[in-house]
Order: sequence, then C-alpha cells, then structure tokens
Amino acid sequence: MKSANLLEVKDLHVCVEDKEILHGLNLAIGYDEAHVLMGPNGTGKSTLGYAITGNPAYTVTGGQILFEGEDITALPVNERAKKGIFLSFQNPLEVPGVTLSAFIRSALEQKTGSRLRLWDFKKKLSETMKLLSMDESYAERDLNVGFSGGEKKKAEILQMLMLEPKLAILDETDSGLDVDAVRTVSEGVRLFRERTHGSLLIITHATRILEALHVDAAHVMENGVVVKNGGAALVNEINENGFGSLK
Amino acid sequence: MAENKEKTYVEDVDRSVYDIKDVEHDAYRMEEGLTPAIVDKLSKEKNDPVWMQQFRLQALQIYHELPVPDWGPSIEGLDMEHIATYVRPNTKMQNNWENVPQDIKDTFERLGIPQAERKSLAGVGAQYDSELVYHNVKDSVAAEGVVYTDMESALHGEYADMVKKYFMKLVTPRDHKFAALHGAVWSGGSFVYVPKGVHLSIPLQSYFRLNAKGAGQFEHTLIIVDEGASLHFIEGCSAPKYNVANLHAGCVELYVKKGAKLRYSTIENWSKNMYNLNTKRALVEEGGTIEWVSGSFGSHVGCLYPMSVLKGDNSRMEFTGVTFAGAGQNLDTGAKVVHIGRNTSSYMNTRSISKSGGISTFRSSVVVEKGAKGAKSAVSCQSLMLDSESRSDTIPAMDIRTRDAAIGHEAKIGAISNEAVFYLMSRGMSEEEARALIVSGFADNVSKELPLEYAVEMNNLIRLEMKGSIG
Amino acid sequence: MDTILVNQLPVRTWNRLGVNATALPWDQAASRELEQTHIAAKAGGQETVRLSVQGEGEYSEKSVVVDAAEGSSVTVYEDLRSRQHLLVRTQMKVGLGAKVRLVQLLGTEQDAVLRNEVSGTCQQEGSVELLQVLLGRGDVYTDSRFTLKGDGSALTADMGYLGQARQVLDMNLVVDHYGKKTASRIDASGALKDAAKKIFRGTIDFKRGSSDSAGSEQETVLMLGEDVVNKTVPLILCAEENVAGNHGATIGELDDDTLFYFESRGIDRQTAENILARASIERLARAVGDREIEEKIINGLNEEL
Repeated sequence: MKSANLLEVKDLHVCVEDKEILHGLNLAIGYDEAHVLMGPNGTGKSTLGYAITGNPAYTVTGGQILFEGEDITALPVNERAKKGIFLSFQNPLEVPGVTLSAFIRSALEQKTGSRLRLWDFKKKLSETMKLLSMDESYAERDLNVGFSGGEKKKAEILQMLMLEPKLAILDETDSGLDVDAVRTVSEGVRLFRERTHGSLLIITHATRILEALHVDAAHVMENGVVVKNGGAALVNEINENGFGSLK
Repeated sequence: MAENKEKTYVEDVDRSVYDIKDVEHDAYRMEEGLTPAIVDKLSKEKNDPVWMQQFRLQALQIYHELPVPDWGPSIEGLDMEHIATYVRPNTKMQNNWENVPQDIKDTFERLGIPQAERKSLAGVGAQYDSELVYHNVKDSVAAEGVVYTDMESALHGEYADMVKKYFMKLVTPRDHKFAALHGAVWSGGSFVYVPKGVHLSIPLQSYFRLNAKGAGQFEHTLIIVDEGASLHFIEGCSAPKYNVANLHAGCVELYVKKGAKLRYSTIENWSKNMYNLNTKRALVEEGGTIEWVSGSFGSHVGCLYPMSVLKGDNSRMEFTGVTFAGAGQNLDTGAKVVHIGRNTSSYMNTRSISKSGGISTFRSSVVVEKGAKGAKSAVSCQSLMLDSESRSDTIPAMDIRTRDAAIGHEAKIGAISNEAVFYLMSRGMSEEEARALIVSGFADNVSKELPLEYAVEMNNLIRLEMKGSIG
Repeated sequence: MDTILVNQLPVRTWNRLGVNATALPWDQAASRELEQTHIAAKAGGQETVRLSVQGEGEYSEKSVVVDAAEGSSVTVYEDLRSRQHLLVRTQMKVGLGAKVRLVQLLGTEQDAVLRNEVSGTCQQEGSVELLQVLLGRGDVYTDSRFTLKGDGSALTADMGYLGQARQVLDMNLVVDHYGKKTASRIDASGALKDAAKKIFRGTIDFKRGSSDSAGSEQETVLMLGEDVVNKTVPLILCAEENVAGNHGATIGELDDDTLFYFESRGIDRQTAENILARASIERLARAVGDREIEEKIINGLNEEL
C-alpha cells in the first residue's frame, strides 16, 4: 500500500562535527508536489538536504526519515539514490577523468541494474541537453571540470532529468546564475515535473526559479526547525516582508 | 684587555678558519685524530658513569665503520683533525677577542647584542653572568616541578636511570656517521623532564646554557614531556655563534608521551665557517603532539632534518620552517616523518630563500607504514630565488604503504613579484626596503610562531642578510 | 647476467627511501638487437607513423630515431608489447619550430619486463607532446629525459597507469630547461590495485639562463589495493631567478566528497572505484585523438579488468 506521503521527516536531530544543527525538524512532502524551503542563512536548510540524501558527515542523532513509508534513516547513500532520491548540489564537485556522459550512464545502469544500449542512451542524453541549451560537447568533457557556475548547475539538472527521481532536492540551484541560466534551469525543473511527476524540495532564498513553477507548499526554517508552513502565498509574504515578519 | 692564549695551536686553527678553501680533506683523513685513547680520557675527565664510557667507545667504533653519506652537500671542508684536537680533554679552548673575525663582531654590533654577551657567544673567555641567569631560570621552573639541568649532571643523581633509559635510543650511533661521532664525543647540553600533567607557563630557553668550553658543538639535548604535560623549548638565538673548530654535530632527542605536547623552536645562526650537522628526532606517543619551529640562517654547510616518529594513535606533527641561504652557504634543510600509529597527521610548511650565490635545498621524507591507517599528511614548501647566482632545490619524497591515507604535497618556486615591489615603492619605499619587507613577510610562517623577541630578532637578521651586511 | 641501474634520480636523497635508482637484472649480452626504425620528416613536412614492437626471444632491444626537421610535424604511435624482456629506445630530435607527438602504449605480459627509454632535444620553438599509457600485467620501467635547449621550446607529458596484482611500475622523467621562455607540463595519474608497486620520479630542472620559463608537475594516485606501495618523488631544481615552478601531488583513496557524489547518484563505492581506476587511462585514450589507438587502449583496459 502506498503511503500517503512520499517523504516524511519526523522530529529529526542532525549533528555535524559534534554540533547539532537540526533540532527536531518535521516536514512532509506528498507525491507529485513542489515544495519550497526558505530561511535565513545558516539555519540548516542544506543540512536537511544532506541528511535526507544520507551524507555520512551528517549524523542523525534522533528522529526518522521515511521515504514511501519506509524508514531510510540508516540506509546508505547509494541505496537511497536508487530508491529515487536526488540532490542537486549547491557546489557540484569536479571529477577529473570521468566524463559527464559516463557518469550519468553509470548511474542509470546502477538504477536499472542492466547495461544500457549505447545508442539509446546517447540519443536521450543529446535530446535532454538540447532542452537545457547545453552544448553537446559537454557530454564528453570531464564532469564539472572547468565548467562555469551556470554550466555546473545545468549539469546537475541534466542528471536529474536523465535519472528521473521520485524526489529531487534542489539546493540553491539558482544561486550565482545569470538571467538566462535561471530561465533554462527553471525550464528544466518544469519539464521534470511535467514528464516524471516527481516531487521537488526547492531550497532557496531567492525565488527567481519559482516563477515558472506551481508551488504546492512552502516551509520556513529557523534555527534548525520548521517554524511555519503554508501555501504558495507564504513565499510572496516572505519576499515582501522578510523573515522577521513571522514573529 | 687581552686574555692569555692557552695553546699555540690556536693560531693554526685561526689560519684554517680563514684559509678554509685551501684545506683538502678526503674520507680517509677524517679518521685521523680521533682515537679510543682520546675518547677514554674525555670520558674520565667528565666523570662519566661506566656505561657511558663504554657507550662512547662503542660509538667511536661505529663512527670509524660508517661511510660519509653519498648524498647532500659536500662536507669536504670539514676540519676533522682539529675537531679531534678540540675534544681533547683539559682543553681550555679559549680564544682571544682579537682573533674573532671582524664580520662576527660587526654582526654583534648590528644586532645590538649587549657587550657582555658578545664574548660568550664568540667562545671567548669566561662567563659573565649567563650562569647567574641560568640559575634563576632553573629555580623558577623547578617551582613548577620541571627538571632542567645540564646533561653531565643528569648522568648522576636523581634522574640518572631515566637518562640511561633514553639516551641515544631515539637517535642511535648507527643512524649515520655524525650521530656516531656525537655518541663518542658529546659534551654539554640540557636535560629537561616535565612531569605528568605539568604545563610550563614560560618557554624554556637553552640560550642560557652556552658556555665557552665546547660552545655547544656536540651538545646533547634530551627532553621528556610526560603524559598530559606541555612544554615550549627554545634553542639557539639569532646572534651568530662562532667556534674555532668548525663542526656542530649536536643531537636532540624529544620524547612526547601520551597526550603531551612539545613545541621545539630553534633559530640557528652558526657562523659562516661552520658545518652544522645537527640531528633532531621526536618520538610521539598516543595523542601527543610535536611542533617544530625552525629558522635556519647561518653555517657554511647545514644539514638539518628534524624527524618525527608518530608512533602512537592520533599523534601529530607540525613543522614550520624558514631557511635563508646567502653567499657561500649551502643549507640543506627539511623534515622527516614516519607514520606508524592510526589516525596520525603531519603538516609541513616551509619557506626557503636563496641569495647571492647561496644554495638552499628543501629535502623531505614522508613515510606512511602499512598499519598507519587513517594517516593524513600535507606538505607545502615555497622557495624564493632572489637572483640568478643562487640555487634552490626541492627534493621531497613520499613512501605510502596503505590505501587508507590522504597525502597532499605542493611546492612552488619563483622570484619576488615585480608587481609587489612596484606597489611598495609606489608607497614610498626604496627598492631595497621593499624587497626586505617582502622577504620578511615570506618568512612570517615562522616569525608568527615565535615569541615576540625572537620574531623581532629573526626579522632583524633577515634585514641584515638582505642588505648583505653579514659575511 | 648483469645488474643495471635504471631510472636514476638527478640528485640523490636518503638511501633508505630506495628512490635514488632501481637495480634491475638484465642480460645485456643475450639481448637481440631488432632492426632500427628511422623516422624523418623534412622541413615543413608531416609524418605519421605507427609502430608495433614485440620482443623476440628472451631479451631484445629496439631503437627508434625520430628526426623532425624545421617546421615539421611528426606523430608516432608506438604499441610496445613485451612478451619477455624488451628494451625500446626512442630518441627525438626536434628542429626549429617542429612538433613531435609521441604516443606510447606500454604493455607487458605477466612475468615480462619492459624497459622504455625516451629522450628528446628541442631546438627553438620546438615542442614534444608525450602520452604514455602503462597497462599490462608485467613490470614496466620507463625513463624519459627531455632537453629544452632552444628558446620557446616546450614539453607536455601525460602519463596514465593502472597497476595490478604484484606489478611494478617504475617511472622516471626529467626535463632540463636551458632556453629562455621554455615550458613544461607534466601530469601523471593512475590507480593502484591489489599489491601493485609504483614509483614516480619527476624532475623539473631550471638551468641558469632559462629565464621566463615555467614548469609544472601534477601527480594523482588513487590507492585501491590493500597491499599497494606508492613512492612519489617530485623534484624541482632551480638556478634561475625568473622562473615559475610548481608541483602538486595527491595520494590516497577515493575521497569522501567524491564518493558521496557518486553514491548520491546510486553508484556504490566498488563501482565508483572501478570507474575512477579506469579514468586516467580512458582520458588519455580520448586525448590521443586516434580511433585505432583509442580502441587498443580501451580493449587493453577491458582485458585487464
């Protein structure tokens, strides 16, 4: 039986290097929904993203993370990814020696458990790159090596579109991007929603990326917990009045 | 007022100091002069316990067996015959102030060394009141429970067994030829013992232990910091130390026990005729830390590679060094580390400067043994060439035998940036001042780790070196 | 049977480290000399040569001489497969403004030993591009020496390797900068599995008079086996003020951040390690720009793993 919620975070406590960042955080994301997570800098938004993804540097000291009703709190990173959790990194790493194409293909093969037909894969990759206005040459370039900030973010969205996760966490995906890049990335995110109907958790403190998107829910974080939940209107309220207005 | 010259051979030694280029030595001639009889007499004069006397003789044997190293700077100019003479017992190798080279005297002047200290630094005559100062320091640290005494006294009395247990077990006579020589003719030096949990509030300085006889040439320093204790020991000073016989083959053995911390700072500025072949080694137990801070300025030839053995789990080593090789100098310096325990870490940050034909070599060795899982090591060395007469060589080596290690290394070499000089000059500095300031800044990795008065001295030294006023 | 000293470090260091040189048993007398290959390109000309060398008998040696006249461009693909003991010497004379590209696929069968010696001298504005891929299961000793004699001459050297089983990969590379405005870039990357043993000595030597020159050396070693041994000796020797030299080395296993990135895409550690183990070699294979060689390399790699 499918659970009501795709993701449930219950009373989550997370520590990094002996310092507790999340102090009993609660959050629920349904199937096929776009959620926005906002909050001042340093409040733990990225930490939540890492914790859901399972980064071992972030220790869960209390609470649970449920994905499709299953407790994944102790599950290793790659298992969670195979179940359909995806994180678009704020600062994507450079991996010299491994091409963008090889990286994505390998991830897809892990997910399906079988080898992909090269021709099919290359075709799909090429089409998706076109949708994101990414030059084809990037496919054979070493992953993120020498990519500009915008290109790195596009590469993350490309991965998202190719891997088709159930839940995509976008960590400050629009930060540092120029107007055109934001438009392209937004388009990519919209496509993801349209084709895959995956859910989104968009971590942001700017909101340009949301302009083309229908937002189902918004959450505001402060000091390691969620302090307010609302609909799309909450986003506008914060934009107009700042975080102080919540008090 | 002239003091008496003790022996006529002092004149021979003087000449050899000036004529050092004319003296040719090969490996065979090095053996001459040092006989068991001499070592025996030395031992008797020092009132050595029996075990030490035997130790010296065994070390002498090893010295004769071991070859001169086939790498590193040439030590052809080493005056072994006179060293043999020098270590002869009943030597009152007192020189005459008139015989001290003028450049040394000029340096004292420029560095503002107090008159009274100049003679002791130059190996001339009796002590003035450094003995007095030494006693005061000794008493004040004793109040905190720290034992600080000279090595000879430590061989007898309360700590005799401790000394016997540790003496030349870390640096053994078998290590290399000059360690063996040291084992045979060592004289003077300090013994420090910091009991468990004691944190000495002031840095301990070896400067006060200088004396005319031997003037620290073969001194042995043995420091034991017991569990949970900490100590900052400062050796040397920026004033040039002048010796009639031109070898410094000292030895420093440091034992850092569980959870203890030792910072060992050195500014070496031996006079420009000296061969400085010092051997320093630290053994670090579980959770212990050794920090080396090292400024090498003097000597004609220097070979200095403080070595740390990270034996215990979670032990750490940090090495911060600067080497300045000027005209006529060949300074081969660096550091060595061996990772044995688990989760050990080592950091090296060195800067070297070459000027006016000086040769500076950075030489390092990072060894991570198979069982040293979780080892981390980062080495960063930067070299500055101030002209094209000089040389700067970087010779690092890493030997890693476990996959569970993260090792990083980076080195850079280059000249002073013309843009930087231009910028400083555009603010009113002369080119010379600008370059001196840049070089001082380059050496700040060390100066900021030293107590203020040493940092100031070091910067003065750099300024003098840059002006070419020394040697 | 003689014992020869190969891969000597230009400046000796502590003997205990065992990096000053390597002593190798080699029967010089028994060595059969194979026919010499002479490759010459005339002024302004172009030459592309493919060479496949396999040893003959227990010991054999081959000499390749490349003569690139002024303004010429030469590409040599050498596929060196040692069955037993093989020594291949490639000497390059690079004339004024000439370019020589040497691509070497160094392979050995189990229990075979390959000795590879490369030397090159560049005149003014001459350049050498060296690509070396070390595969196979036997031991490889490779010694490359370059002299950047003429002003503006340059060297780039890219080496990739995958060490396995009890293989010994013993490398030496020396670049002497004599001319002004000379440049060198060295990159050695690879992975070591099982109980492979690798030593890389890289020396950049700025001679007096080589002002405005630059040299950089980078090494990345991925340690994947429980019994691997890695020795890295990156030397910079300098007698000239106006130069810029740097080297960097990174040694260790798959780092946490990179591992997390792979895992976040569903790729487990083992698979990630395999991908990265192949990475340096695959990258070089692509850089060759020649389908035939690229295929040979990838096939060789697939055979290994």
